[in-house]
Amino acid sequence: MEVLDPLDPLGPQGPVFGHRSADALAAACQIVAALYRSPGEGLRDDLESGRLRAVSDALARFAGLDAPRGPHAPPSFETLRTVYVSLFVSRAGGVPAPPYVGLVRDRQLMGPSVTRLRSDLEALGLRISPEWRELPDHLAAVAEGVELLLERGRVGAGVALAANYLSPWFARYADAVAEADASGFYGEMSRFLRSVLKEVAPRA
Amino acid sequence: MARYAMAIDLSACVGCAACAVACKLENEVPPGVSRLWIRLEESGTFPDLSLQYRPEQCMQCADPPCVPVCPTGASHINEDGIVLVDAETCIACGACIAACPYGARYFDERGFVGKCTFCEHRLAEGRVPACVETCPTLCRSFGDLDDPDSDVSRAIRAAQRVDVLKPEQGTHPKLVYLNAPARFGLGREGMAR
Amino acid sequence: MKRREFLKLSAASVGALMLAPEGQALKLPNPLARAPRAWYEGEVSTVLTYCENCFWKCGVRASVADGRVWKVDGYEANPKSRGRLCPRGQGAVAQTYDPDRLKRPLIRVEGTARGDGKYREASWDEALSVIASGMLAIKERYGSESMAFFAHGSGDTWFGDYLPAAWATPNVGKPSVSLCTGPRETAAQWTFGRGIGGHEPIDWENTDYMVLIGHHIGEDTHNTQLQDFSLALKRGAKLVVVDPRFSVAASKADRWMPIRPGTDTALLLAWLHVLITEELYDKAYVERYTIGIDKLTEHVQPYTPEWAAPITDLDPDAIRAVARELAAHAPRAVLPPGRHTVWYGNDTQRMRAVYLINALLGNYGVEGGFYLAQPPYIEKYPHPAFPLEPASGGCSGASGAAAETIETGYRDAVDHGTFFAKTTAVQELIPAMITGEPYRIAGLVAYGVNLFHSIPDVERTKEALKKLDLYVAIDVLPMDHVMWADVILPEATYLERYDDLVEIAHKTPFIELRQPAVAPMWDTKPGWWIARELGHKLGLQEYFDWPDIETYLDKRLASIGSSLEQAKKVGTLVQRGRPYLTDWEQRNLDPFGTPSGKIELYSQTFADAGFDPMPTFEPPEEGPVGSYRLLYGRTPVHTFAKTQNNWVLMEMHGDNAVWIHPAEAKAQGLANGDYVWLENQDGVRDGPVAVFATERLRRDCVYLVHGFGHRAPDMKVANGRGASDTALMSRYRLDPISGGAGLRVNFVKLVPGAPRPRLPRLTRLAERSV
Repeated sequence: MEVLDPLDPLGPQGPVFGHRSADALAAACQIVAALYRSPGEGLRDDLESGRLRAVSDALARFAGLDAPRGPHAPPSFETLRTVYVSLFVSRAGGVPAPPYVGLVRDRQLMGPSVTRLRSDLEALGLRISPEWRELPDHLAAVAEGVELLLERGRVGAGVALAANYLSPWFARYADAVAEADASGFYGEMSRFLRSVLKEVAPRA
Repeated sequence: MARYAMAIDLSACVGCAACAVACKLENEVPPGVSRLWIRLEESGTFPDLSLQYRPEQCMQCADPPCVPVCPTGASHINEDGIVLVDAETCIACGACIAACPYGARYFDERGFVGKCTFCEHRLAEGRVPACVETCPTLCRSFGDLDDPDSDVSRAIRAAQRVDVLKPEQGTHPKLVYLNAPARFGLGREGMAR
Repeated sequence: MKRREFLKLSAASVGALMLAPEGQALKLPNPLARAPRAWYEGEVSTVLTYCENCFWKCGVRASVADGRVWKVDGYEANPKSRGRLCPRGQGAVAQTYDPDRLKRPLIRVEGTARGDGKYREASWDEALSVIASGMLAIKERYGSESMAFFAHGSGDTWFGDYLPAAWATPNVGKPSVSLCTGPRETAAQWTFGRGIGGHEPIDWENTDYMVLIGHHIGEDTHNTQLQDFSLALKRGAKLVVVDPRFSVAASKADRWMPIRPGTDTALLLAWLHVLITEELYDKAYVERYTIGIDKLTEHVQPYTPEWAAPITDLDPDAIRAVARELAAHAPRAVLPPGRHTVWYGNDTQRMRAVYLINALLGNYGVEGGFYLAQPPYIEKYPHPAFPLEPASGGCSGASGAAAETIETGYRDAVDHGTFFAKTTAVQELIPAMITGEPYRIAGLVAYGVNLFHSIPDVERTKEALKKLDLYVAIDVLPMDHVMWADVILPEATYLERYDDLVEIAHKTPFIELRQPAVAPMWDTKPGWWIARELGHKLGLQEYFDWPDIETYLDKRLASIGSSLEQAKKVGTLVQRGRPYLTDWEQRNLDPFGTPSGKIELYSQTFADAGFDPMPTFEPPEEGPVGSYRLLYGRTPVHTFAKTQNNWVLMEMHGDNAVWIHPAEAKAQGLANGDYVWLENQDGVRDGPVAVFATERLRRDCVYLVHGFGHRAPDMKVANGRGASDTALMSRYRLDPISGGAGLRVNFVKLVPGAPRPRLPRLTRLAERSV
């Protein structure tokens, strides 16, 4: 994997980044975007229809990893919602893994990194939807942005977004989730996504 | 060109820390370090007691020991007499932190040394420093020492007692304490003239 | 591997981001400029609103840059802040950006118990529907009165007044009454015929002599009051402080009187004795404006300073001297009423004694004493008449003491008849949740009230919560009691919302606008929105016919010839007042709303109701041997139990310690910094808490700063720091007149050997990253 200049991941000639990797990155980001947002009907549908299983199995094959078992035998949706709250929203002892890029970067919410992310998204032709009832730097929003760009074939842009706002902290983040939910669905998926992104995510 | 100074009337201060909180947010001072803190001293035995709340920060010395020790010139005195650190040229070597007798400087993890700036960005807009503006006891005065009509000049003239911290250091602070309770000696000499 | 091999997930792209129209730049600019830029270097806009980090309601200017509030400052044109703010006000921003905030509605997981703390997320529609169906089921089964509302903060206009009135329940409790100002309001109502109100009407700028009794200016930091107090001292006004503790105000005083706790009324009676027997009082004023001086003269004969001295543990000469000095400075001499007045259960009588001295000094309605605070004129939003109006009172509401029982067709509040005043007492609404007497309270909405850190007898409160059919909490943070609720509704912080207009009774009455500086974070909502949506689901549309808060506010503002547009620009709308008796007399208005139309030194109403018509002294109960009376107070950087998760404020004051006289500490082998448990007379323990051995306290009491000791694991900063005084208040003594809960009737022992708590460093918590 090419190491990218953190200040200019596109480099003078653009990134060295294959399309196969781009597809895999897009798929991984799809899962990140689906998984770390508040679980709703979309996720229920992805679980029940087997789509989440299909995407994660395909990604596992691509990356040469064992397919995660979670999507094959997911916990009940009600359980998932409860666990989600305890991991990411509110739980005794404190939320182990608040999913905000800026909190990691600035050690505060809505700090300068969020301002920067917003202007970077704008430069890439993206805007935070007014319907998004979360902070702009939520992990799922960043991942959705990467996926959206890659899906439109805008590989450089997608890679740049991932290199700046996902790669630098996702591994550490996934570890925190995996530790807090060692034997659970989110823990397993976080470990899996960490391994996949280690293979396909651009580094800044 | 001005010679900015601050006076804190200790007979009025109640140690509420509004100044310290205002400073922290105005200047985005990171957790764990501060540019302004409050010292509390208690003295006497029940029921004959005294208290002194004393806010402390950079003394904005006229002869600051932190400036000559700076190897890059980042630590400097600006044209209004304010001791400042230029974050761009600061290499965070810590020499100034060691040299300051008041413990008024700290490492900022972003790679420079932080300290009180007399909120120079506010002065440029004609406002006073955040700590002065917010104080609910009105114990802080600020202004130009060279202007006899400035708040700080008038407050110093009206005070029954004027003290500086650690006068033996010869730093000639431009932050002075007014009307300290009788029990708490600070040492009178050594203020910037 | 081809792109199409990856299926599209439903959940992955349902709306975080939108594609801008085509033609936008396709390439990131040099993405990360590393040099830190200060917030004020960019474009900064200013929004005028008022603060909610305590309940003084100071006007503020919020500075907004890049869609974030970075700083709030005092607003110069606001009579509350006059351009200055206290530490809590300054630190409010850190609450808005607290990662531990409640973010979206939560519903307790089915099959779990209250207190287990297991929740799932819900949409607002689902959460409000669950609440509405629960409330309607309660109404169906027990009647609408079986829903209770507890409310505190600016939003209590929605959840302590508007919604309960529309819904029709009299069972509305505000801790700001029976756990705080109740006795002084009731006493003022039956002495002067008007309450004190949320902004104590002391004419500080003209007073020359001040006597503070258990009144912690300095620790309280009520902004304007602290400014006034400081200016008065600077002007040379004399200060006497009566307090068992050497408070901050005591350290500024000309005379500190370290009184034995619980004996204040004896001191006040002795002062009355000296003023009357030495004929030092203002005879012309008393003749003209009061009734009952003859009876009072007779009543105070036995209460000599020599009688009071052994009771109060004060020097009789000092007692006499203060009375004479008061008289010498009258009418520019004043005994302010203080704020938290629920001490020993006989508090209305103590407050009456305070007021009688003021009356004898001839200072009520006179420069240098009490001014007559007037509320500003503004009309309510027009709506059909409410089925009933709960007598919930409140910090700046009417005392309710004078309210006659109005026939509504609904049952009286469950605390009706347990004390004299008509205002409800929040703690007295709880037994009906357990016993079902006189009828069952089956549902509770708690808005901004920390049930476990404000109401005494926490075990009783927990037992009551377990028995409810429905318990809803509306709050900003996952406080201890919030994580017990069936449904949790996350409110936006004050910087993110509109509220109803606040009307401040003052020398110059004024109206303040609360308006959002930024949009609500996450899926949080303002109180007005929650109340309105819930109202609609409850079938109360006729009371909530306004489409949005802007319409509501604009309509109200139109009644004073203003508009929302104007109010947004000026923030505060000031009116003219009638502060002095002379202003009333010029207009031939009667300032006193008492039955006699005069200041009542003797209260026939009290006599008729079976109470002492003039204050008498009751000795306080003594505690078990080896225990200390538990006193409590405040720190300038915290508001009750509301701000202990604010990292900036916690850096200033991060936990409490138990104050004890060094000789007492030494006798028990305790040193400064040792950790102990506190155990009260009923065996209730709290802590561990550090020992602070200090000369600043009498030997017969200990002291804790209130608001610490959260057992709220979801609040990472607050959790487990210090001890809770409320937890140790397993008893209270009901004031039979005001309904106030006298809280200084608990005693604690220090139990050595407690472990030093192992807590993460605040600095690390402040950062709160992974």
